[in-house]
This record gives sequence, C-alpha cells and structure tokens, in this order.
Amino acid sequence: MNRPSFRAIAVLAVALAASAAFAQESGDPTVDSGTFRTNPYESGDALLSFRLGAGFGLLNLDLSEGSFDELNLGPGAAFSLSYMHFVARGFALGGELGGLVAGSIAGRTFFAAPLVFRASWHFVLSPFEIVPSVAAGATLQRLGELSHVDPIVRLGADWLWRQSADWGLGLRTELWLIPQFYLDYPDSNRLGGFLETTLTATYHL
Amino acid sequence: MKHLARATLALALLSAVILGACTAGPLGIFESLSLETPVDNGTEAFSGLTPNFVVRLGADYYAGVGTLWKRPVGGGAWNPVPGTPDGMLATSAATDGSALFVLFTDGDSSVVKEWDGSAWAPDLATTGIGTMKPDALHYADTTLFLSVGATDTEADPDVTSANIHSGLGFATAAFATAPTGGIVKALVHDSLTYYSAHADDVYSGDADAGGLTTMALQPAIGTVTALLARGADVVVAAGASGSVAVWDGSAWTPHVIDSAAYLSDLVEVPAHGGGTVILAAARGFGTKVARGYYEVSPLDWSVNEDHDLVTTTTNYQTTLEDLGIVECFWDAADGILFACTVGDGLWSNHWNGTSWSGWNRE
Repeated sequence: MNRPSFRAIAVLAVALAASAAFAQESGDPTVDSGTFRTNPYESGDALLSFRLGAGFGLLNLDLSEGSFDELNLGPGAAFSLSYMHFVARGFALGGELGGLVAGSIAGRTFFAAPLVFRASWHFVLSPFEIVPSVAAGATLQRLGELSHVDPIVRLGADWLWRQSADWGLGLRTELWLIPQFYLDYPDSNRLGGFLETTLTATYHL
Repeated sequence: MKHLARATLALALLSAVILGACTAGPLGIFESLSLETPVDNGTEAFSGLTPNFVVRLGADYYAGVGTLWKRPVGGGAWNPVPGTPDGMLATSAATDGSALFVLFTDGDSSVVKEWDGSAWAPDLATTGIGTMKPDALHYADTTLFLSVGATDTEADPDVTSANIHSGLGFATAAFATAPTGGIVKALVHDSLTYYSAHADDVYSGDADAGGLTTMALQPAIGTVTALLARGADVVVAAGASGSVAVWDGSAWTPHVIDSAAYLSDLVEVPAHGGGTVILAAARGFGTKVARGYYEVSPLDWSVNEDHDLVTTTTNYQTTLEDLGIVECFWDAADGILFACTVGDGLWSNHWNGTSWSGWNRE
C-alpha cells in the first residue's frame, strides 16, 4: 500500500470521530414552529437512499504551483447508495458508497468510487425536507491505466419531497473535493473538485 | 448504535481492501487529465485514411492526406490548401524553411510545386529525371532532392532501378549508376556526409554532387527502411527485419527491436523523465503485423515495453497499438509529434517540456 493510502485511512478515522463528537454536542436541529412541523426522525430510525444523476468536473488546482489547470472531463454519471442511522432527532450518521464516471476529451474514462462516512441534518418543512450533510472518506480513482486512492470531502444537501411516510424523492447537489497527493511525484499533487447533481430516492426503514 | 457500529466496521473493512489493492501510476491522474488535448480535433475526413506526410512551414503544419491540408501550429482545424492540382494526390513534401515543396501525382503523371505559405510558384522543372518517375522529396543539408524510380512496364509497377536527383531541373543524379531493385527509402545528412538507404544497403557520400557510393560496411538488418542522423558520424538505420543498426563512424552495430516487426521510420523525441527516446515506427508488411511503434533507448538500445516515455500505456493501447505507422514528424520548436497511420488517420502527441499529452486524433 502506498503512503497516501494511510493518509486516507487517517482522514476517515478523523472524520468519523469528528462527526460523532458533533452529534453528541449538537442539540435537536428541529425547528418546531408554526412553519416547521415536528421532525419525524427519531433516534434509532434509519434511511436507505439511492441516487443517480450527473457529475461534473469543476476544479483542477495544481498544489505545487498554486495554479488552476483544465480538468478536461465532460459531463458524467454519478450514483450512490447510502445508509444513514439517526443518533438524535433529525441528526444521522452513516456511510455511503458511490461512483462517478466521466469521459475525458482525449477519450479516456475517469472513474471515482468514493467510500465515505456522512453526517446529515434533517430539517423538515412538511412535505419537504432539507438535508445538508458533510461527508469524508476515501475514493478510489482510475483513469485508463492510472489508479490512486485519495481522501475526499463532500459538502452538499438533499432537497426532498416526502411522498409518503416511507418514501422521499428529491435532488442532491454536492461538491466533492479530492486532494490528490503523490509522495514520489510531488509535481503531480492536485486538488480536484466535482459537482454531483443526482436524483434521490430515500426509504425510511 | 449497534447498527451504526456494524456499518462503520463494514465500511472500514471495505476501505482497507480498496486502499490495499491500489498502486499509483507514474503520473498523477488529475495532472494527466490537465495535459490532455481533444482526441478528435474535428478532422473526420482523416479518420479512415493514410496520411503520407506532415511538415511544418512557418506557423502552419501541412499534411498530405489525399490532397494537401494545413492548420495553424497553435491549433485549429485542418483545411485544404487552395490551388492544388485537380485529381492529384499529395504524396511527399519537403521544406527548406522558406518554401514548401510538394510532390503531386495521379499515378501517371507528377508535378513538383512550390508554396511560400500563401501562393504557389511556377511548377519546378523535372526534366533532369528523364523517364524516371518521381517518388519522394527530401530536403537535406541545403539541397532539395527528388528520389525517382524506373519500372519495366506499365503492367509491372515494381521499381527496377532508382536514383536521387537534385539541382536545376533535378539534373544531378546522386548515384552515378542507378542501383537496381526498389526505391530509395531514405536520405539524411549528418552535418558531414549524406547517407541514403536503398534495398539492404546504405550509401554515403556527396549526394548533391553525384557522389553517393555503397558503404564498405553495411548494417545487415535486411531492407533498410529508414535513417536517422543523430550527429556527426552517428546514424541509426531501421530494417525490415525488426532491428536497428547504429553507425558510429567506423562500424554498424545491430540491435534487435522485435523480429516480428517491420520498422518503417525513426524519430528522436524527448522522454518523460528526462533524456530522449527513439521511436521506431512499425507497420504491417507481408507476414509482419502492425505494432504502432517501439520506444528505444539511445543509451543501451533497449525497448521500453511500457510505452510511458511518450504516452501512457493505456492511451497507446487505445490508439496506436494495433496500427501501422508509415511516418512520424517531430516539431521540436512547438513540441508536437505526429504519426501518420495506415488507414486510421493522423495522430498527434504534445510535449509540454515535462510530459506528453498522450496520443490524440488530429
């Protein structure tokens, strides 16, 4: 295993610990007012979500020179499967396995498979929900013969319409940030950024 | 919390498996992406054809793909050059830096035209070649050459004798006696001497003064298909046997590249990681199959099987691996390498001073 992989594991552990700590310290995020109804998600509930949509390359920052390069990727497909477990009212921790595939302008295929731990806050404005979340983990990437594993941080939100007591449908928009480190080739160090826009289907377990 | 703990453990185990299964490549993924150029620059007219040549004149590249095309060095679309002879193909070209000389032929007749970048000059006289048929143009040292061949009959197009002509009307023949059997494959100048390839032999001497003679020592690599002058008394010859031979001023030293290959051209370019690499292009011929090209070290003449000195293995495999290459052109000034493939158009690879972009279709 190369050394950046250990770094990725460390980021995973830190992200999980930070998420857990935040969960303990944060209060009930529900705004129980005339506008927002009581949050239906209690501790012990769980959500299983499927997402499918588009992914876009946004950013390619040369970390050695501080300059921006072209990412040279066309629009691609993004998908994910996540499991979120509520540890407090309206606050969940969980994990997600996903993928993003996109073609490059030279005809190569870029593929990223992030595996992340996620913390999400569920704000309810029935029948709608706004679910901002932060996730951190590691992502396997391939471009032709090249492959690498790097840490990944994801920031975004799901915008859901609660179709029934069990199902919610909506849209996710999320920014992926992937710092890519090569200890043997420091000139190759980059920060990549992607935008995920996916349709979301959430099942309340 | 028990569910969360189990999920966390499962994710951690899966992470460890994925992390442990991967190794980094020689080039960063995002860096590699940043170096890409479009695989198709929009010239679909080239995609199923065999380009004959690429040359540079001033701020434009010129390609012989059926007719004569040009595009700006800085990028842009290929467009036909106006004023070319109707019904004739652009089969060969050479430049002295101020003018482009192009050989057009329709199989029966030929014409050598001169282009200054914006207009055609009167056709060059070729009365000096007699009944010989023009085959290719070469510019070496300070002289424009026209290699020619003679055939027995119209029904038998095999060239039975050949020569190289220069001077006014191409009246000066490089060989006092035209050698028999096939066309002249190459002509280079190493800053001291001309070297020419014909059949299994290499000739040397003053080509522009009619003084090419057979070298006393020969490379012994079968039909010599290409020559590369690397400096004074340093010449590399490529052979139909799949070998190269290196002339150091006193002897030829052969090196086997791939006995299953028919080497067709040689070009020396910068190597990713430093130094240079010699590309030995290969094409299908007889029982020999198309192999793209070989990356040959000029230090020990070993072959880099990974193809990562001028491109990534994947890019090579998805573009040129199974293609025959008839000619390469390297523009050192702007770092662009062209490959003329057999039946799959024109490809280019960009050097940014550190890395190669990978092969992209022109």
